[in-house]
Amino acid sequence: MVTNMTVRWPDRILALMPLRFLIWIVVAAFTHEGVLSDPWRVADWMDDHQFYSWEQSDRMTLLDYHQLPAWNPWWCGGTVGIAAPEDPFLGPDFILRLIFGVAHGRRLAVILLVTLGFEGMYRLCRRLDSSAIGAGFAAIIFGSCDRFVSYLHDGWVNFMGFELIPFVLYFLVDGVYATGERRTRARLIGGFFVAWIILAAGTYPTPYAMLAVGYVTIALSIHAFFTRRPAAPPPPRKGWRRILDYAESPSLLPWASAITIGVVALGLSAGKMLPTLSFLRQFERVFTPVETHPITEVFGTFWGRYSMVLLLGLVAVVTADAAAGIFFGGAMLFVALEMGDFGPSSPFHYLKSLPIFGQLRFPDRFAVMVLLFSSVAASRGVTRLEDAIPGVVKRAWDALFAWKHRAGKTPAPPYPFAARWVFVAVGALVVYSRLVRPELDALLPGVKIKPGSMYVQEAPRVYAGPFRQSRGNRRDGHMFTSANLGSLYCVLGNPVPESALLRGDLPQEEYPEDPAKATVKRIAWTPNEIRLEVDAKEATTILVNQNWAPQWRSNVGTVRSKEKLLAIDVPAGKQELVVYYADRFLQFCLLISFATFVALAWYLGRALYRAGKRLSDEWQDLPAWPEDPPPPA
Amino acid sequence: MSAEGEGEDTTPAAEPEEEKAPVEEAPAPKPPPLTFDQRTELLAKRAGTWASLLDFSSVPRSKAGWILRAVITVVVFAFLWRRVVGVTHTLIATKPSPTIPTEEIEDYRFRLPEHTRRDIFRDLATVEVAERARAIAANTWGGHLWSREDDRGHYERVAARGAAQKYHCSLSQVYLVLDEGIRERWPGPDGNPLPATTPPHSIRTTSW
Repeated sequence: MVTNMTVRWPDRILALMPLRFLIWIVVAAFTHEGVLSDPWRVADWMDDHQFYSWEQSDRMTLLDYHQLPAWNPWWCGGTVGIAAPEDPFLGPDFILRLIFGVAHGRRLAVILLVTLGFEGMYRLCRRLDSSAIGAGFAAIIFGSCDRFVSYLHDGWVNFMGFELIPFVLYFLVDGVYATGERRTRARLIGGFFVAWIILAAGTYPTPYAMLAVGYVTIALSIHAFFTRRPAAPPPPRKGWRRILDYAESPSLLPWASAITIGVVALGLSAGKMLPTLSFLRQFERVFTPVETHPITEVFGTFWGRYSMVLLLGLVAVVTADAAAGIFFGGAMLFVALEMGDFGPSSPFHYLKSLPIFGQLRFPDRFAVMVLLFSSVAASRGVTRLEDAIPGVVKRAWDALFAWKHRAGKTPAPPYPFAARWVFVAVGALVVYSRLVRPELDALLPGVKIKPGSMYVQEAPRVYAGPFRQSRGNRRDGHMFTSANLGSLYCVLGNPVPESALLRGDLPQEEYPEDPAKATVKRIAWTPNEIRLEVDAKEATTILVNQNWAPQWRSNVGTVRSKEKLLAIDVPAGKQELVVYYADRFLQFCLLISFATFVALAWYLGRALYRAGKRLSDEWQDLPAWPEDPPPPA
Repeated sequence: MSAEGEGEDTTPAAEPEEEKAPVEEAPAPKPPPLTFDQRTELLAKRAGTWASLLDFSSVPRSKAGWILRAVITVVVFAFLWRRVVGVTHTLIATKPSPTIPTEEIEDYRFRLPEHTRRDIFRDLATVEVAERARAIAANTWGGHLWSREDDRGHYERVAARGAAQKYHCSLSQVYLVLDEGIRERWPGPDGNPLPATTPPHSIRTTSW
């Protein structure tokens, strides 16, 4: 299916990666013009304000207090930081928030992920032997998916992790069909992209990526079982390494690729994924209704905008294109999932019975995956049409001269070499100008984010007072974090407890339960550690205006919960009380992530060094100019 | 290595080879002239060889190919960088709103005089008291306190924007004034301070 790539010279020009990124950035700047305008402003929907607040608190914790945001005291009177499902602190794109600030960083992350979506989809389609035109078409269609506009409108930048799924599938496929070191490299990098999705708070992209990988693995495995045979089996290994021989069998290669990707992703993302799973187990969603969408609604919504994608996918399927068949099948699976829990036999019903997937809601979000899979099939359809033009000309030539030859008039001349070039170019030009360009011209304005349409709300202003809890307002959460105020009125997707004793009018945030017994003075405050000077006449309790959590510790006395409020029983005397948040499980998981990252960086760095050295060694033997071809015999 | 080998042509071992009498060979038969099609094919192949310099999908097979690849890559990167800078310029170059000073000068706080702050607070408190009364009267959400608070938050959000517009200040200033009023227990329209607490987080189990 993808072992013999078709040679088309226009494809080879677009093989220059910076050139593609230049195209992607031009397209992204057009479709996401509104993301790159209206600086500092935020979207209208309250979730954008909430996530802005979280990211601002993460950034402040790291840059101002030099701590990891294990605890977020600015939200709900204190809640988990990194472990919160929607917290993207560990995501690679969070670096943009650190460098440029949260307001710009969120927007730049969107542009980065969109361009990576374009690139990943392009590579995936090219890996499946689509032409550059077909791959580019699919890339732009998927990367600018209409659903992403509504996600961004709601402030769900973490949903842009969907844009990385094509990269995951690309490396999954490359991890099956590539050979040698490239195969290993592909699997490792595929793991990195899955980890990125997880670390960037991919609450929905993560399970969807798992489903996509699972489906493609099974499909490739079945396809290989019926079609692929190893050309020359290598000599069998000895001892336990014999297992590796089995992993080399064509139908098991997809599983080996998927498992490697999964293991690498688990290692890299352990610092986020395991604490988050622990959090989700502890505080399961309380509202999980039965949601369904009739097929007419699912199909009608898709057809309204992406009818051509569907038709082009069908063109590929009816011309017996294996890649298109596999990906179109995937689109059908996700259509069935998008229909929701329409009965005990529905795929979504089965999905809901699984541990992690059980908390998923809004099956209409599977529309993103429907578009992803049907776009890949459409890229094959475009390619079929593009290849048809030089193919038809060649067949016409052969038919014409074969007839003349049979008639004894002339010997059959070979198909002119130059004609191949010309008609490949004609095919690309015709398909681009008559099909791809008009379709994109019609579609892109409909998904374009116009300036002044999305980021319409006033930006928060910084007020550098000491940290205090305030009554707050979750609908404008970003205003409070920027003013170093916590917002007690809040929301979380999970039923996280909040103390009723929290107040937004205290003269000091740390205070004795009985003012007659002790005095408390704040020495230093950071999100994860508070230093207090306590002068207690007798044993008493010091209260901190934050929620209690089992990870809170102190150097003196005992930490306990007083109606879910953080309380420390201290002995009599004058002492420096240090109350600190120490999540050992989180620290252990972060250590796993760090160790995996170092190992991956070492392996890939070594591979890069070796490749550079190889090229350097070969340089001496290279001719100065391309060598002339031998004359025809 | 080849250069060193060429430098050894004066060694004794090389001499006999040089002194070998040239073997007289029969003149090689002239290759037959190429046909038009063959000439075209050769021309096309030569063109293909030179065009392979632009084949970015494979590793260059000549030094010129590498140099050309490097030059084109640098040029395209330069264009890419310019484009990235161009499209992000508006976003990054725009200065943020000034920070709100923490200093208090006379009765000014958050850059607003006290009478303006009290006016802002009164406007917000009026809306809040009215919303609380409405929620009780209509028994909204069946008495679910957090949901009522969520409604109140919506009305506060709308009122805060209205106040920012009315008093020509930022939304951040409005919320800071509200926080000050709650903290200082400024009286609302009913003469009572606004509550400084909020019903604990308790998301609904029946709707979202």
